[in-house]
Amino acid sequence: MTLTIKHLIMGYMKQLFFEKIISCLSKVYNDSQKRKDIDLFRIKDVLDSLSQGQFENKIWAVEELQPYLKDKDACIVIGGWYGLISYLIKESSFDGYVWNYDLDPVCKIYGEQLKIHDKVHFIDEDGLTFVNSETRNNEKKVLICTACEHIDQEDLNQMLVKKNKDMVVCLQSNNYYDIDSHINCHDSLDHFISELALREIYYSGTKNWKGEYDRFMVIGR
Amino acid sequence: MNIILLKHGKKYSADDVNRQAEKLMNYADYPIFCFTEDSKDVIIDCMEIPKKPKLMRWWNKLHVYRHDFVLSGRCVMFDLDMDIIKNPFPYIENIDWRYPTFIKDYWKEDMYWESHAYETKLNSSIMAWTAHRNTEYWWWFEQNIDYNTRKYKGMDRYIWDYDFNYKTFDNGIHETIIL
Repeated sequence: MTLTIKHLIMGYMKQLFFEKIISCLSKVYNDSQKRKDIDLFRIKDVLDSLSQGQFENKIWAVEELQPYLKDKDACIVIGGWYGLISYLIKESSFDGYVWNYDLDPVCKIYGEQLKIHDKVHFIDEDGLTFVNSETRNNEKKVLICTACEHIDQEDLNQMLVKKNKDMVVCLQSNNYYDIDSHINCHDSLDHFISELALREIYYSGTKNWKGEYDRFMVIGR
Repeated sequence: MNIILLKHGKKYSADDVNRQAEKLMNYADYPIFCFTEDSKDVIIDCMEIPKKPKLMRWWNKLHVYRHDFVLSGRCVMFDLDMDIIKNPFPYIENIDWRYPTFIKDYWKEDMYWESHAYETKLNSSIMAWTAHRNTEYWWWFEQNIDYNTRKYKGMDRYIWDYDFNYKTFDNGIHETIIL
């Protein structure tokens, strides 16, 4: 199945997912009244994770990853936030597991709330540490990180060096320097590629977002 | 007391640091340091901003609340985008050094925001503190850095919202600077 923004605009997003989003936001509000670790900014954060730009970036990744998902049993998502890409991977008919790692433990709470597919799991740990697990660090997995601009380049490369050499990776970054949480932007696609510890590049591309910034994507191993 | 000037990224240059340091030297002979990741052409002593966790721009001010911050004792940090027109030190030297102290944006006093606007009346353009005290400023930030830097537009809002213990300078300090 090919995912396109056209599908999305024409109602690709399932009614069930839409309902999940509404109930998730309602839960955030209710939780914020009783829990010190849940605040109202979380509503905006969930909405930001589901913005049109986020859909476009993740759909781009899932579209280009299709040839590499065929014989794989799991996707490992680093910085998975509330799980949008896991939703899109599963909608693309991928039958394996998706493990969403995010350091923020609250992402797991609302990621679980938004989830509509089986075999999707949320883990509130540093995703870069998956390389220490023999059951996860192997060629049957695909590694995805669409938030490299949030991750220190040295830490990212340490993980790339330690990962199974045949594991396919899909990485995105951008040149949106103005955002304070973007600690690892790149000037261009070439700049991004030049800093990645990858042996082979299968795909690379750039997409501009509303004239504001460029997003870069690399698939390789 | 140690005077510290923070320079991170490309918005301000070594010249900006050197110029601000020269102005401050007119009023006090305390040691002056530049806290930076790029010490090129800076003529005062420099301390390197910790490489990890990597922070952007003014968020790097929070590193000074780490238990392993390189300086000890009383410290004051001045922003580079502020003009110092009179001696500010009489307003700094006699503060209660048990607490971090900030400028108060007194003109915001009558303004109203709901708490979830995460606005602030606190201004860290001048920030005084005792190194290795109040490490909770860093500890809480470190628990969820990415979320905190998305949630708050700047460190001042983070400190305000977390309701940490702090003091503010006498408003007279505003007569010594142009923000």
